[in-house]
This record gives sequence, C-alpha cells and structure tokens, in this order.
Amino acid sequence: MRLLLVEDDPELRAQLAAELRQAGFAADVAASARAATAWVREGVHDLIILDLGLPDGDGVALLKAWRAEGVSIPVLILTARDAWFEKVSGIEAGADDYVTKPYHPQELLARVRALFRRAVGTSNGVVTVEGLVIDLMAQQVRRNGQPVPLTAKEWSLLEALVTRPGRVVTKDFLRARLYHDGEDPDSNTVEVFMARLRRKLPELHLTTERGLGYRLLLPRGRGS
Amino acid sequence: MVATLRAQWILIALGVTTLSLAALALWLQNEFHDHLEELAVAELHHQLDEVTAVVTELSGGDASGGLPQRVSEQLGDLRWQKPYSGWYWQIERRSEPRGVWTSRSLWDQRLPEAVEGEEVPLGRVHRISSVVGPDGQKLLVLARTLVTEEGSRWRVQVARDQAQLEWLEADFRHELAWALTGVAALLLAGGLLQSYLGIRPLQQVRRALEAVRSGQTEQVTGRYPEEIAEVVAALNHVLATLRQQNEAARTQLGALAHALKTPLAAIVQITREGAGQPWAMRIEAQAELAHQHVRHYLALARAEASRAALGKRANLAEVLAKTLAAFETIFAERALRWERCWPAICWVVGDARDLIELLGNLLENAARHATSAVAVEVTPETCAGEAGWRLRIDDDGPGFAATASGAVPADEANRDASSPELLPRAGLGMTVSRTIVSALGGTIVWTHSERLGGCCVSVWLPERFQTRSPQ
Repeated sequence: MRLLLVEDDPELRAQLAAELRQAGFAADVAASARAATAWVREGVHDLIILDLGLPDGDGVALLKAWRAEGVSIPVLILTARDAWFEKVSGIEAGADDYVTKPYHPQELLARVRALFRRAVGTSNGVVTVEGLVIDLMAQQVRRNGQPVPLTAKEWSLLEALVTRPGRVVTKDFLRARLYHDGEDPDSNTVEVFMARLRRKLPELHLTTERGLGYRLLLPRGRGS
Repeated sequence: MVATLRAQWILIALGVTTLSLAALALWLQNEFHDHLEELAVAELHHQLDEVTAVVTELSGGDASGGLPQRVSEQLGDLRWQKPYSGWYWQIERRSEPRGVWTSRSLWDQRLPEAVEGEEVPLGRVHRISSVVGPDGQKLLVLARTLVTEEGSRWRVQVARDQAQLEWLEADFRHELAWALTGVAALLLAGGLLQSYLGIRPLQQVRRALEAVRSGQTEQVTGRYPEEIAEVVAALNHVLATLRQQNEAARTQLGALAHALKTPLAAIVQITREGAGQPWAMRIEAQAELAHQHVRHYLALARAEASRAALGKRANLAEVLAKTLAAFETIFAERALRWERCWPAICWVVGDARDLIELLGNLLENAARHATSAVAVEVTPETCAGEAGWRLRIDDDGPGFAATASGAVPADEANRDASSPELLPRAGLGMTVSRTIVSALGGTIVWTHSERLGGCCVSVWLPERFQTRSPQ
C-alpha cells in the first residue's frame, strides 16, 4: 500500500515515514499543501495521512478542495487539534479518520490498516477469488493455503488493481506507482509485469481496456 | 436607596415640586400680607391727616360736642360712628388742661397707649400692629404727636381692626392653596409623563438586550433618542468586541494546541527510538506528562470559553446529526449501533462548537464503553418554568460507578496545577461537560441506563439564556 504523508514538522515527518515504511507501507512525504496537492493529482496513493497545520494553508480547506476536485483517496487526519468541533469539521470536510498528536505508533498503524480495509470494502483486508486468497494487510497471496511468491512490483501492481475493483486503472497510473523514486522504466514495463501477474494468478478476471489500461473484475462478496 | 429609576425620578419631582410650591406660597403670602398692610396704612395715614386737621380747631378752643359726628362725616365712612366697628380715632391733649376726643365707634373705650412709656417723636407717624383694642380686637394703629402754636402737645391716633385684613389674607391663602394644588398636580402629571417618556427608551434597550441574551438577535436593535443611541452603539461595540475576542481566543487555543503538541509528539517519537535507555524513559515520561497537562487545560479553557456564548443558539438536531456522523466515521471499527431519536428542530442556547464539544465528550465516553449500541434521544422538557430540551445518551457498556454529577472534586482548582493527580483521566470529559452545561445554564447527571443497561447521561439545556440556573 502506498501512502502519502503530509506533515510540515521535519522531525515528525521523518520519524513517521520511517515507521510507516518499517510497517511495510510505501510512503511518500510532502511538507506543504502545495507539494501534497501535486502528489494527490498524480493519484497514485491508496491513503493520505494529513496534518492540518501546514505552513502554506489549512489542512481542512485543502481536504475540502481535494474532495471538490473529485479526489476520493481515503484521508486520515493526524493533527494536534483535539477539540471535538475540529474533529467534526475534519470529518465533514471529507476525512475518513482523525487521530490526534501525540500518537502511539501502533495505534496509528492500526487505524491506517483499518481505514485501508474499509476503503477496499472488506472487513479484514482479505479478498478471495476462486480459491485465491489475497491478504492486503499481510501483503501475501495464497492458493489453497500455499503462498504464491510475488515480487514487490508484482504485488504493488496487484494491490493497485484489487483496491480499485471494476474500475479502469491506466497504464500511466500503474507506471507511476511502480516507479516513484526517480527510476526510469521502459515504455512496456507495465505490460511485462501485467503478463507475469496473469501467468502467476490466472484466477483473476483481468481485462485489458484498449488504449485505456486494465480492469480487475471481482465477484460479489469477495471479501471475508 | 430607591430601587427603580422611575421611582427616583418621581420622588425627586415630588420633592422639588413640593419645596418649590411651598416657598412660592410663603413668598406670595408675605407679599400679599405686606401689600394689604401697606394699603391699610396708606388709608389710615390719610385718615390720620384728616383727624389731625381737627386739632387746630380744638387747640383754638373751638371744640364742641358734635366733634365726633363732624369728624366722622369728614372721614366719609359710617363705620367711624358705629360702636366697636373696628374703625377708631382718638385725639388727646397731653398738656394741661388735658382732654380726650374719640370717635363714636369707640363708645366708652379709649385706645391704648400706642407706645407705652415714651412719647411718639414729634412730626413722625408711628405704626403699631396687633394692639389689643375694644372687644378684644387686634388693632393696627397709626399715632402722631404734635405741638400746636400755643404750645400744647397733642396725640392723634387712628386705628382699624386687623381682623378684616386677616380675613382677606385667609381668603387669599385659601385661593392660593387651590391654585398651587392645581399647579402641583400639573407639575406632577408632567413629571410622570416625563418619567414615562424618559424610561421608555431604557425599557426598549432592556428588551433588546434581553433578545440578545436569549439568542434572538446578536446586537441591540431599534431606534433610540440620540443620547440612548450613543449608549446602544457603545453596547453593540462591546458585544462585537467580546465576540471577536472569543473567536480570537478559540483560534489561539487551536494554534497553541498545535504549537505545543507537534513538538511534544516529536520528542516522544525520538525517545521511543532510544527505548530502554533510562534517559529516554525519563524524557518520554515528562513529555507524556506535559502533553497530558496541555490536553487537560486546553480542554478546560475551551469549556470555559463557552461562557462567552452570549446570545448564541444552535439547533441541537443539526449539531447531533453532524457529530454522530463524525462518530460513525471515527468509531467505524467498533461497528456500534447508533440509535437516534430527536425532532428536526430543537433550539438550545450556546455556540454550536461548544455543543459539539459537549456532545463529543459525552458520546466518546459512551462509544468507548459501549458493547454494541449507543442511543441518543432528545425530548422537550420544561425545567423550573423554563422551556428546554432533555438529551439522553445511553450505552450498553459496564455502567457508570458514580451516579452523581459531582465526580470531580470541587476544590480541584485550588490544587497544584502540575500534580500528576490532576492529569486527564476519565473525569476530564465529565469536567468539560459539566463546565459547558453550567455555562449554558443547564443541568447534567449520570445514572444507570434503564434503556440499554449501561450508563446514561442526561443533559437538560434551556431554549433561551436564563437569568438564573435551575437547581
């Protein structure tokens, strides 16, 4: 799962990013509203952790603007503002959860995972397709109880598709998701990884939308 | 000390009117008395001159027995001849051979000595009042002493009964009393009208302030006389300033929370990196303590700020709807069942943010302890004659041990503010809730929930701000 952490305090930002990466999340960071908006427009994240007191704007106003633009990425507000009217205001603006500072890392990670599960539409973050069990929290795929080995990039691709079931996921999006640290992929890299994924997981109903991207169809009640 | 301005004005008007009219009456009576007496003296003076003219005749030995009749005719008034009529004259030769001639009206009496024991100076007319005359009459007497050419000394006196003057004065007093009573009535009526007209703008201001206090308007409205309009403008300025200060204080509280908690969070995170080190544990403990103090006092400061919600009202239904929506999101993992029952409109006093703070604390407590369900109900209820709304929040948790609202010690404010005993605990939410409810003039109590078996918090909030808090 790829997260965007928006936090202006450098010490806290570094600590939090390290904790998230340690917990298995891919984490990008932004120190300002402007940088955060630039990331959000790329649309490559599964969840945003947003501080409200940013140097170049208020987090609540920023979130409202994102929602008004149609950004539907789950947002967890992480802030020092702990008044209830501020929490209600944050949720009204479109936040999906609200955690106050100082936070306990374990609690924050649990809230992030829970929010991710809710965003995917499952109660435990597990998606089942014809005997294939995709555990989004454990980042693991099992077939008849046996693990199916996937590389990090294959998993990233699969996660992007599973968390957006029924929707067209563009190649550009997948490419940006796969390579986000200055890597320079070949033009057909996404197709190569998609072909590998189809070979390893033939149970998936993965279709190619010509000129657009890919779509994963999941059966109803796929979550458990 | 008179309690009302109107009573003060009326009393002052009454006092001033009474004193003024009494002084006026006294002055008018004196003036009238002096005027009457001057008139009487002038008339007597003329008559004294007439009588004095006879002295020459008497001095020449030409007196005759018909003198009184002749003098009286000369004076042209029959009262000089009627016994004890009150009009008298008397001529007295005070040298030998002595003799006394009097008006017939004196009959067998004599006028008393005008000036006892000494002579009236020659050529001067002496006036004496209240001389006791015949039949007990009080006389006004004019006396003159003269010396004729042959050397004899004469005393001439004329007198009149003062009773007539007194009767005129009494009649004048009577008329004056009625006239002044009428004037007093008019002045008092004017004073009452003035007090009514003067008080009316103040009563209008009072009603407008009541509307502000009860939340109907935010400012004192209406048209007023210039003098009152300036006061109203100043009042509105004060109200606006208070609101601005309150808003600024709330903003600064939020900024303070952010400014303190973010570095505290960083400190805690840094110390967790050095977990196991004694210094790290000590720093983390102090940072946690500082954070809890900050949280505690910021929460109380926000609750206290609710006292400045003068004139504000909010629809509890709307506040509940948005607060519960936030709770459903924040407590989504708990999968609680939220039972709702409230009317679409239920206005209560207070700023919406304070009500959210109140509901947030109460609902958080319920949500944290509930097993599966939280019920929220709002019903209309009149308390101590004041219309209001009863809010009940029930949960199916383990229940609340204390059944009274006094869970927080009353002397908390006097204790050491840095004491760990004062750190936020389960009671902080209760303290915050009680502070807000108290500021809004409501009541709050925690009891056993008959509905869901856990805890029930029951809050009553008035529709409008009250002058007194219900017991």
